[in-house]
Order: sequence, then structure tokens, then C-alpha cells
Amino acid sequence: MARDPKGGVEEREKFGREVMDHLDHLYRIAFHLAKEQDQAQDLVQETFVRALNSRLQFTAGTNLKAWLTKILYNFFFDRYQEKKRWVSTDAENPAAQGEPNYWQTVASPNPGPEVSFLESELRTKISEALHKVPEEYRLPLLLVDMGDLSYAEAAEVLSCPIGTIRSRLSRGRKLMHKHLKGYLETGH
Amino acid sequence: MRCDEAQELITGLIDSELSSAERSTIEEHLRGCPNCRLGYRNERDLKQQLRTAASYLQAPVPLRQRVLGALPLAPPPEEEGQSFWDYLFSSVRALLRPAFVTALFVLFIVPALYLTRATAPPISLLVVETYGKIQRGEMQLVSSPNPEKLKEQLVQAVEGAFAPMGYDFSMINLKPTGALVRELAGRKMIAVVYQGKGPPLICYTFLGTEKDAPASASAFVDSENNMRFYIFTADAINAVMHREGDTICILASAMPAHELLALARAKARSA
Repeated sequence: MARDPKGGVEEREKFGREVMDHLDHLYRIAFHLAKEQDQAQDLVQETFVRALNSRLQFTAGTNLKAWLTKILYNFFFDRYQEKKRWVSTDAENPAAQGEPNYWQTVASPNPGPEVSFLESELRTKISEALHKVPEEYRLPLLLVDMGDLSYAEAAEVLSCPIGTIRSRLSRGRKLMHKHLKGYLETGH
Repeated sequence: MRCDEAQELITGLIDSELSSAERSTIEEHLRGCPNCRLGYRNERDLKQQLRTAASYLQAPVPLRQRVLGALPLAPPPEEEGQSFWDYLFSSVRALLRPAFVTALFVLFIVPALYLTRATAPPISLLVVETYGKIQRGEMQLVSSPNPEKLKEQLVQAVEGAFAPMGYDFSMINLKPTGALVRELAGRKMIAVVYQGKGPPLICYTFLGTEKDAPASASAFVDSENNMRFYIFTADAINAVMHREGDTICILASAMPAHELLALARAKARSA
């Protein structure tokens, strides 16, 4: 019996290897979405499995990274943030609400006495600044600036108009610059 | 155009997301507005900072292993309706997969080889085992206020056969404080010790090939740079090995393995 070449084991593994090429990207987004490193790793692993199982829905020639990012983002909000969609006008600052400062938590995924690579000064400053930016502005920053997606791809991931991506990026960068101002001006 | 109207166009200009008409409009405004030109530069620099920060963050090795492990185990939904012969065919093919053959090799053939002939530890393990001795001061280091002079001494000590990598780790507040040359398993190696806050990092170099990696090492393929990195542990010290030409480099530290790998990837130069 002839086997469907797209449903075959080899095709599945090949697709899996292509997904692996975007693992760093997925982890970066998950790392900045999740509250804990374990949760970020679970997000990426689940995204990987879901991508494999729905690979026939991926249109060849389109951006695999953006497609994977949408899977990750949807899974994250379905599972962890059901009541809180970024497209809401809720611009509450978690820190101002007295909630745990989770950006500082995720900035130290391997707590210990050692000074680690990921706890470099640049990373810490960026994390601190990101934590102060409301989520609706932070997500476009993650997708476009840190994830290198186009406006159209980011809009597809977040299910919003392209113009919204641009306006929120503009606002988000100004907030980031405000929070990083002293740091940027010291010549780092 | 007013400056407040220009802000979103500046964002789009930085991201190359403007139409030609929008681009002309904002470029004309920028030519006549020093404040917006400053804003443009600030926003462009910030974007670069964010990209740089993102590039330092890479998927940890355990996550890669988990994901790779999920690849053959997750059942493909398309196979639910397959026939017995399809199932048999796929099962036999599974036995021929590289992962299965590798597992077979590791489980049976490697122990058999081990039992039938005495094997010496690979040089990579011997090298990393010096980490503790160096840290405890049991191996004397040479140092010099002039890094170039020190490098020259080290190259002379190995008769010009190779040189230390000379990596700059100042971005994580580690600076070279000393070095030594030793002969292990008939080969000379250079160890350069970097110290700062936290545990020291030692960069070992010696002539060799990727076969010098321990059999227990996890291999990581950097497809962007076409390089392979081998992650292993010796005496509770994490190590990442890679090859640059005919020189092997091992970074050893108590820092988490995935961070050490990220560091090695950031510094390694493909041959």
C-alpha cells in the first residue's frame, strides 16, 4: 500500500528538524511570556508536539517561524492566560498592582551563587525595563524586535490589525527607552 | 507634518515597513527636525539592544533533548488508520533508524568493546579534570600584565604548534588571570584561566579532532555556523568542546551547561 508522503515518518522527522531550527526563537518568546523557566520549557515542548501533529495545516512557502509563534502564543493564552488577552485595553502594570515581579524571576532561571551568562548586565536591564512595559506594548516588542517577525506576521500572531502593531511598537519603544535611558546613555 | 504625527512613521522606517510615499514623507520631516532625528537614532539603537539581548538567550540543552526525545515518540495521527502491513513496515523501518542503531551500539557493542580491551579516558576528560586542581591552586599558573606577552610565552611552550583562543569574556566580567601548559596523554594543552565574580572559567586548547569528545557527550549542531559542540561533565564541572581548524577548544566552568554552550556558540569561530 502506498504511504502518504506527507504523513510518513520520514516527513514527520524532516518537519521536526525544521521546527528545531526555530527552537531558540520559540524559547525566547516563551521565556518572556512565562512566569517560570519550567513553564517556558513546557510551552516550547508542547508547541513542538502541536506543530508536528498539525504540520499538514502549514502552508509550504509561508513563514514557519511565525506559524510556530502563533501556536505557542495561542497555547500560552489558552492554558495560562484565559482571562487576559493582550488586545484588551487593560494596560495595568503588574508591578503597580503589587503582583510578583516575575520579570526579575525569569531573569534568573538558574538561581545560584554563580554569576551566569544570562544574568549579564544587558540582559538584566532589558528584563527590568520590559517588566515595566504593559503587556499590550511588550508583546509587539517581543515579536518584532526580539523575534524578528514582520508587522504582518506579528499581527497574524496577535490577531490584530497591522496598524496596531506599529502604534504599539512606537509606544512600547518609547517606554523602553524611558526605562533604559540612563543605561543607554552610559555608553553600554 | 507635526512631530507627534511623525512618531509612528519613524517606527515604521526603522523596521522597513513603510510604503514609498510614507518613507518620503518621514525622511523629509527628519531632514528638517533635529529632535525627531534624535528620536530616530534612539529608537534604532534600542531595537538593536533588544535584538542583542535576545540573541544571548538560547534554548537550554535539556529542552533540546526533551524536544528531540518527543520527535520519535509522539504518534503521528495520520497513522491511526494504517493497515497491519503499513504498521509492520513502519515498525521494521523504525528498527533501522539511526537512533535505534545508535542505541543498540551504545547498549551492546560499546560495553563489549569496553570489556574486551582496556581503554584510556579521552583527553577531553583528562583536560577538564585539571579544573579542580587549578581552582585549588595545585597547578601553578603563569601570569603577565601584558596579555600579548603571555600569549607569546604559551605559544613558545607548545613549540608554535597552536595558540590559545584568546577569547574576550569581559562582557560577563571575566578576565584572564593566568595560564599553564601541560602534557596529557602525550599531547600538550594550554589552559587559560578567566576569573571575576563567581566561579572561574577555563579555556583549554590542544591539537585534536572531534573524536576527542567523550562518548558520553551530548552533541549540539549549530546549523547557522555549521559547527558541532559537545557538552559533557567531568568532576561536576560542565564543559563544552568544539573544533576550530585542527585546534580543539574546551570551555569548562561550574556555570549551567546551556549557558556555557551559549557562551561557546557566541565565541566560536567556524573554520
